[in-house]
Amino acid sequence: MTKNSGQSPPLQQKCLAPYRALDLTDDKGFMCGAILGGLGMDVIRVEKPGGESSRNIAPFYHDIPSPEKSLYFFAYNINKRGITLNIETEAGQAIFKRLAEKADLVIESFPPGYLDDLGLGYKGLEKINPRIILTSITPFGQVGPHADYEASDIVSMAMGGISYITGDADRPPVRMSFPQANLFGGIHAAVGSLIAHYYREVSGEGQHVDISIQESIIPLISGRLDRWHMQHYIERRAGASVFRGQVRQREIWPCKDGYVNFRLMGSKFTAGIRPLAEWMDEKGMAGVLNKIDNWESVDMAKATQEQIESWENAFANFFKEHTVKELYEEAVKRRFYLGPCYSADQVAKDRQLAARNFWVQVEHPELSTSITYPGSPFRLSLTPWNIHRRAPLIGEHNLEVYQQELGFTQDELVRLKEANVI
Amino acid sequence: MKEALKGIKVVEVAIADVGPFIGQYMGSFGAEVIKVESRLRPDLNRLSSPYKDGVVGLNRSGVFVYANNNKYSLALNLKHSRAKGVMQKLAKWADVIIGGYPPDTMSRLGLVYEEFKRIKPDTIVINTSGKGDSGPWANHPAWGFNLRGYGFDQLVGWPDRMPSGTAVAYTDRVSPWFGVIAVMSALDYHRRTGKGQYIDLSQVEASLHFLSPVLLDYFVNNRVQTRKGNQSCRAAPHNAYRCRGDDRWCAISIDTNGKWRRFCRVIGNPKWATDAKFETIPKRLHNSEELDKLVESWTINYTAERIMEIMQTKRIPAGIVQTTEDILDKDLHLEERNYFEVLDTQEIGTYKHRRPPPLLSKTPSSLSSAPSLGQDTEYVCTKLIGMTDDDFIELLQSGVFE
Repeated sequence: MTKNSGQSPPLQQKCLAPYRALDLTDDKGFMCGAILGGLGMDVIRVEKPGGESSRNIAPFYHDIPSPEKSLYFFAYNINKRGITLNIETEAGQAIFKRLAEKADLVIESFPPGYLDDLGLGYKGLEKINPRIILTSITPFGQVGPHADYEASDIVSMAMGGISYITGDADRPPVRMSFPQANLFGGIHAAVGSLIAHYYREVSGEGQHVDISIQESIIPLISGRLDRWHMQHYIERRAGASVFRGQVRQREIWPCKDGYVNFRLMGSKFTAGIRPLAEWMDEKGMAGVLNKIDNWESVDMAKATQEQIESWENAFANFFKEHTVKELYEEAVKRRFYLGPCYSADQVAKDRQLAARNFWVQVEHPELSTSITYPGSPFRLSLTPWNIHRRAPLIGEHNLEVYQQELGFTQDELVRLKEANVI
Repeated sequence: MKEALKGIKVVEVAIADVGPFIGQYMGSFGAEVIKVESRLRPDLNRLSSPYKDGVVGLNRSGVFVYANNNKYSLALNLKHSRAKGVMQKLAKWADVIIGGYPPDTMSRLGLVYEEFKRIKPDTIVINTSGKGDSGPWANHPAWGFNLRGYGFDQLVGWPDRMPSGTAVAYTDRVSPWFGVIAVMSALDYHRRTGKGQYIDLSQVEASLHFLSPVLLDYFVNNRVQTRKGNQSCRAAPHNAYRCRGDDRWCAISIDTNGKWRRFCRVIGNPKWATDAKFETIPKRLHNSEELDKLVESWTINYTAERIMEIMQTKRIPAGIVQTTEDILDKDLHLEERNYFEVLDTQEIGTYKHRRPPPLLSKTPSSLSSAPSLGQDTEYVCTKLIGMTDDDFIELLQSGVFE
């Protein structure tokens, strides 16, 4: 593991360092600023006095429910400073406008129209700063018949089409037990913001980036969409198997101490299957697979369900005799297509991630400890991403921003606090 | 029409999903993208069903068309002795090069950053791989459907059964967006400093950011989260409820007492709803199994569409568990947002594209259909990368454009 936050690359080596974002998001949009912040952007969370309510998402540090101990908040608000500001007051709006004058990006996830009503939507912000980019993240986007629809993760995943094909055939469609919908919205918000940013730097013009969480989920099922569009065929959920055309093929297989991911494939993919069959043969367990003379001629699309199942039986029996570690390590050595089906503790112990120094330590002085976080999602050779600060406490940077930067005096800040403006 | 990424030149030497999606995003927003592919070793997606009319063909795959709009196709046999010269011209032209093979393959083909940098010192190169370009398992050929087991599959399904899994090659549809972010950041840095760089994108490492709190829960609380069906720790009713019709469901999520009261009213205040065991959130959570059955005794009488409509007028989160047919043909909201664009595509005819999600007010994406394999070889060579007609003909005769 590498100690990361104490070895922050110098400012000039962070590619988005010259830019600032004001982050007004709740959990629908946290991810955007966290990733941009890791690239050096100065991301400032702007929360209502007392803190944003998404600070109460479990799990908590040592299960202590507190707005400054939410692990969800920690994870997705790294790399951000934090101030409190009540934008529903006139004084608060005035302060926000001062901040927006010098900001490059505003990220928000309020219901469509909320910021407009406060004079802080794109039209309002553009007047103050024509270069500004406003990125809005909502379940269904800014416009359209469902724009005002209420959502939560299970609803978004349902409307995005992924739930229908997920789960077991004899039970309801199921969502991933750790919520994903907002993360798709957040990551596409970062994509859209940077594309708009590139255009802005070239043209001088800002614009409004509209992110619909539903639209951000739909790419997950693109192959299935094509199957409807081109073949008028709707695939049903099939548990740990998947329908390829009319036949069902297993994808998750029990092994001696857990599960592995493996899919039997033929024709051009046999390079990744044959080495496994050879290993099985060495152990005397190839069974019916030995009847296959020419793997390249095996066409899964033409195989019958019985045929596939007889082949799959051979693999199933073999996997049951071996551990995840044995199967995965042999897959790497012999270059066949198989992956581990890990739980969180197994991910944490994965050899490849450890060798890559993927895990980083982030200081949490308020907890008198440091915590292990996932490290860089991508590695840029000159301007690396990193975690340079933990998630902010409520109003942690009020003094830095209001006093040092905007020039408010101590007295003025006290009065603003009393008036519930900050 | 203004294009956000006009003038950016991209060469894509990548197959399947991750690299091609990065190229597709950039092309959709106006970058010029040359896809380098070979008839001898076609992009895997060209060999993926569904095919037009079920007839196999390199230019008939819907999966390929979706991931490769807005690109030129240059047919190039990378193993041919003359390929290096063509590749060098491409590298000289490109601002960004997208690679998508395991590190040892890229190396064997001479497609490494050091080589590209020699040709153009400020080039930006991104290599996408399953597990990164270093480490003991870097050269293990890895596909999204094998990599989704890195934490995701075990979180999907029912607590009393083995995992159901993510149903799709999940990491293939999480990591490309991180790739676009990395490339756009590098382009910004280049614009300001004139410096290029190399980007290493590991599907697993990027995707694990979609599980950060789960990982933190393990590191900090020693807890291994697992699948729990559709349960929530703070909302009940919270599930997919069966509706009228064949395999029709509506997801409903009620996380406050206010929503609960509105819900009870809208379903006609049935007697069971007033039972003390459903009075508070903790009680509804505790009795959620029974509650779900009772809710479903109501939902089963209505269509999913009707339930979503009724709930939403009372500001209760509810949504149809949409099928592909629902999304493509019935979702009026997506239609109005111009999420779809029907394009004429060679050999397939009309194809209903979906635009990249980010909707930019001044520089929206604009889609053009995916290319047939090698359809732009001559154009790319003679009009884009600076080959003379004679040089092109000579190379053509050498057989390198296969």
